[in-house]
Amino acid sequence: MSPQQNKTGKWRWPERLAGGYLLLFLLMAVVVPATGLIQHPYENTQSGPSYQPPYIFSFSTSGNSTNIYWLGTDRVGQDVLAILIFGARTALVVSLPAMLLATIMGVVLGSLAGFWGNSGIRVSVAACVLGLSGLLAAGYYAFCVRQVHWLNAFQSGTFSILQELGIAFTIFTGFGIIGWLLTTVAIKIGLKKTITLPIDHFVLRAIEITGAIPRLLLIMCLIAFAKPALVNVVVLAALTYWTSIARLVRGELLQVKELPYIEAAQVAGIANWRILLKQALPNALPPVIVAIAFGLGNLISLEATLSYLGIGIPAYEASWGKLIKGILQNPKAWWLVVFPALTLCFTILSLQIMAERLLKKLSPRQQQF
Amino acid sequence: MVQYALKRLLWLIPTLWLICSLVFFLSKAVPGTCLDWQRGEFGQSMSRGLVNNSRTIQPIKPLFYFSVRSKAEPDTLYRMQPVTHRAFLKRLALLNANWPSVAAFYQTLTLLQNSLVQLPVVTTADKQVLSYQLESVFSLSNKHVIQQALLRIENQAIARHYPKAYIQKIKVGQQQFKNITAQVTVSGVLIPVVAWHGFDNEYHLWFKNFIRGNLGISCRNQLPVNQVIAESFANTFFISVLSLGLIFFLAVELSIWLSKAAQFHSRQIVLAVLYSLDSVPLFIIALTLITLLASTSYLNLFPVFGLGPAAIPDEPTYVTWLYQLPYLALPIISLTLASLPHVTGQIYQAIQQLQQRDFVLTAKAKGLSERVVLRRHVWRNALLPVITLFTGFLPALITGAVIIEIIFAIPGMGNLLHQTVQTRDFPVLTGIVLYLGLIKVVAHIIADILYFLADPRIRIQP
Repeated sequence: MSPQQNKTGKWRWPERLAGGYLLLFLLMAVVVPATGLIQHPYENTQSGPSYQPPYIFSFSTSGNSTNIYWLGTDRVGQDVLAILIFGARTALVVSLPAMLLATIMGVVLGSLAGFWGNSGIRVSVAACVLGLSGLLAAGYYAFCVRQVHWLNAFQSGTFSILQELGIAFTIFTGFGIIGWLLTTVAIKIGLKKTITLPIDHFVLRAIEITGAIPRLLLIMCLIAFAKPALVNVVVLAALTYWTSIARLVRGELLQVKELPYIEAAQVAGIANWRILLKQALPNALPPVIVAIAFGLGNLISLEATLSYLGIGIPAYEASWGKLIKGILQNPKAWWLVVFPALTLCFTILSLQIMAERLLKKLSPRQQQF
Repeated sequence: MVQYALKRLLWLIPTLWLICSLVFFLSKAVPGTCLDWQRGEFGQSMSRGLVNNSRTIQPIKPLFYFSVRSKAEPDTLYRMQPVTHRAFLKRLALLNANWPSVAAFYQTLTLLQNSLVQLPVVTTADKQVLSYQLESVFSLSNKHVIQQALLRIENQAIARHYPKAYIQKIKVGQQQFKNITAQVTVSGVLIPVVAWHGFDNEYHLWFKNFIRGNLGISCRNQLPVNQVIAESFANTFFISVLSLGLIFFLAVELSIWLSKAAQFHSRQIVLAVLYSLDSVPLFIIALTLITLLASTSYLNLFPVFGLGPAAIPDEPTYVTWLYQLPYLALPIISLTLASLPHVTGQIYQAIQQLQQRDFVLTAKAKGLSERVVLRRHVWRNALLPVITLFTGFLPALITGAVIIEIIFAIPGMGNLLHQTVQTRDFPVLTGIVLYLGLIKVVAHIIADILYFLADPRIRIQP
């Protein structure tokens, strides 16, 4: 890491602190629960005394207990430290896959819209008709025929939804291949009329429709229909977060597209998708990476807010937001707010600081400070 | 300009239609309606038969103008009541694809249920148990579990010496169920059938009312949705407008103060504080304020929950508002604290960029005081980004108000939404989505108009 550091200047102390904290966060969220040293707070049958103040701050010589609650206990006597660690895992399990899904959706749609625009993609009428009917048929077989399985999956939550999604994906791919074969045959026969697909238009409308309702509201609405499960929250969050990434990628690609080297590549006869993947996208990525870092912070905050409100996050998952809620029942138990709030704020702040750092590193000319 | 605003408004209509239709269909697709949820809340004590009977009063309509279904399902399955039976039959039909056997099996089961009344040797308690067992078959999905349940019913009937004919019937049912799973013809499921239902369908009715502005009736308290929303909207509006005013007043003053040269040393500290405040989620700010300023454990300065007196007789309305102000203080302070860093940062940056411009240097060179330069010259020109912020900010404020209202128990849109989500009151949910979407788009249009008024040089590109 050190040779790169010298290029972009030294790490200032807030940046070191943020990086160190994020490493600690990852360690806590991934490694500690896996080692089994600490039991999951809601599976721990032998709970301690309720509202035990943190060990560090308790000067009384109670000393009878074998367990030391470094950060105190909550209402039912669960260790706050254990909830913090498993809450970190929950935060990670929600935010990371959701951001990954949102990024994939956003980059694909954004690059379609930005790189090809309204006139870049010409499709033969045969492909259009066949594709549309194939899409309808695939939709029928993936959702209408399998609706019983889908309902079961949504009832049981977690991984059966992913399994159903996998089956649906297979069906769609199968129909895609059949459609492609039929299209090549149709073009060979002589159906060569083509039309342009206004992709940019479609994507912009989709962004506008998703953006017409405030994000938290949309997520709360959608969660009303689904069972409380982390996978549902992940999918729904991804469905509302892709727009910002798509808009960024589109904007960047619109600028990159006009640069001379892209035109040169086009003149050289390199396939468009190859130019997009090899030349254009890498140059559009820096703002996207920064947006991902900010988005992760947003999602962690969203997860905490949802679990605080008691919406969408299942009751058996440990979460920082749920821990914080405990203060409402006992305002004197300050440790229920201070520790989770600090970890939450530090995580978001560290992500923001690292995002700024990345921004500076990736585009040194655009320094704002 | 007018043309652009009109275009925006025209585009708004299909967007909102699409989203509200989506909510409508989702609410229909979810198993269990509002009524079921209410019954669930008021206890399971209500007998099952009563639940079944009350649903058949209303005529059942198809959901949409047309439907696509598998050939394995019969075309009138949507009329089947109650919903659990429909789902059960659909499951059997789609998994096994031989409708005649499924229908025969269903007929036997219902016959068993109905003839239960005429059994002479059975006590009422036994009848209830048996009826419950028969009914519970409809909620099963695994074929082995169903077979076991049928066997259990048969054993019970034999043990209690039910009439021979009745036990025979149960055996017939078992055989019929075996028939269903014996001849599975999967190819039958794969053939799609399209059926046209005409205009007398649920969506058509809902949409007709929707266009007329009638959003239906809340199933939680049987009031019209518009009335429910109007009652809550006033409070949300009050909070949003007050905090919006406070945020922008403070942000402008703060950024002008920060831009003064004399603040060189305190600037870094204030900016750092704002930066870290930006990462604190709103609900933590609100909760900290509640705990510190409104609980008996620490400083008890403000009332915690609710809105105070609704309306005081013999006093003008503004007096009521004055009484409500202490209740609103903490919510407004939390919203302001949560949004201030972002807005201040943006305005401060706009001012910083303007300070390098020629006209500012000219003004300074003329010998104008820093105060005049900042207030008259710079501020005017920083107005444009402020306008964009102002309206882009409104949705964020609404979202914030949702959390704040839930935490402080203020009867506004946010609290309404929370209750709606918890009780699955879908008509109200559609209404909230519609009105908040409207607010957001109208805010954008207002931004464009303000933009136009603030700077006539701008040509808006639609």
